[in-house]
Amino acid sequence: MTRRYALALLVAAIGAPIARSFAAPPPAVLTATERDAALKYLKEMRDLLLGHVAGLSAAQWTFKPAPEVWSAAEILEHVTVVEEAQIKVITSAASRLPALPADDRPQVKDQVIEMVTTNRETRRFQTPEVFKPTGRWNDPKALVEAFGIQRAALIDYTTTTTDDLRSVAWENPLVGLSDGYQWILFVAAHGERHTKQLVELKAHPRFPRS
Amino acid sequence: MQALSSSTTLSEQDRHAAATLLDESRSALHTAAAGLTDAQWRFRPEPAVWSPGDIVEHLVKSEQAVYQLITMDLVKRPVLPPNRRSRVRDLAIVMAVTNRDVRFTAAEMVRPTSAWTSGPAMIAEFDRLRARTKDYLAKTMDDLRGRTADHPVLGVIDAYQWILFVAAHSERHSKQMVEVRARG
Repeated sequence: MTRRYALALLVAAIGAPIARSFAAPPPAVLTATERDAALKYLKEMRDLLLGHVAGLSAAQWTFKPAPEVWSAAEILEHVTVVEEAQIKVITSAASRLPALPADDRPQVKDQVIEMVTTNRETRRFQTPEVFKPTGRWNDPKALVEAFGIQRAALIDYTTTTTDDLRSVAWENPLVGLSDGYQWILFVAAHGERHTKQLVELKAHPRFPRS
Repeated sequence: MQALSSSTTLSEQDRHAAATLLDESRSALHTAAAGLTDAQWRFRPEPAVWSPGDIVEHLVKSEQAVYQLITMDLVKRPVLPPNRRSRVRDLAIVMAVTNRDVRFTAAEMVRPTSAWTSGPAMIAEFDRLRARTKDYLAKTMDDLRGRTADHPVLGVIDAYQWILFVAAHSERHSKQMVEVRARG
């Protein structure tokens, strides 16, 4: 074997393990199981929320038990603006963020996203200023439609995307480092959290009967 | 080549936060178990639903298992470099584990097997093991942030977070016990 060939082999032999630990794995798309699970969650939570706002009267939309407690309209506005913002972040993540080597990817299990985010008992949070409701939609019908459009966009993206969502990750304020797929689950769970809040509101003794 | 990781001990803040959770969850268990008669200790609302006694047996086994995992396994492993440590938030551990809207089947090794005779004796055993966990937390110089293990429900978390888990876990089951009592 020539010296040059032996040197090339030596470099390849040393280089290979280094390449494995520092380079990202080859791109992958979501598995059918992952896609189905996320879609099921997104659709079920969409239906749950829409079901709870269906048929609310004007009085019921705007009822606030106390000044600092959100009305149904404020809850849905908040959910909608968060959806709007997160869709942009999620659908651009694979092209904006570096693909992470396997060792740098989040190791939290997917189910933790829902477990953490839908827990309203242990801890409440102040949402960032930019996501606070401001009465952006005057008409409840327009608000419900706006939510529907955002959720449909995320469902569509989840259904069709070939982005390698497991390869990109960014910090979630509740969970910690979460990958692109987990962020989709977070959007669904965030809606679920606020649906629980809405259910609680509707159970308030002074919630208008009609 | 990566630099060898230096070992660090727990911050006072971390020690205090976990100790508070260990205390609070122990109190919650005592409150949930207060005044139960022997019949109530053994009462299963349905065959597959745990009695208060089953719950405490599960907590005893879990407390033991986590302590052993940390002190006999994890702290013997090499300390991880900073970029290989847990990226899950401490608060997330507590929020996830105390959320009873999502249910799980317990791992085999911590499942109750009715290997107990008296509820109060089991509570006493839990207290003994919980005190041992607390004592370890207070005194250890081991690097608990520098070692991680794969939790079957949560994923990879560090040894300190395993302590948060065991506290939140007993809190979770105390709530369950309150519900079971109400059905009895």
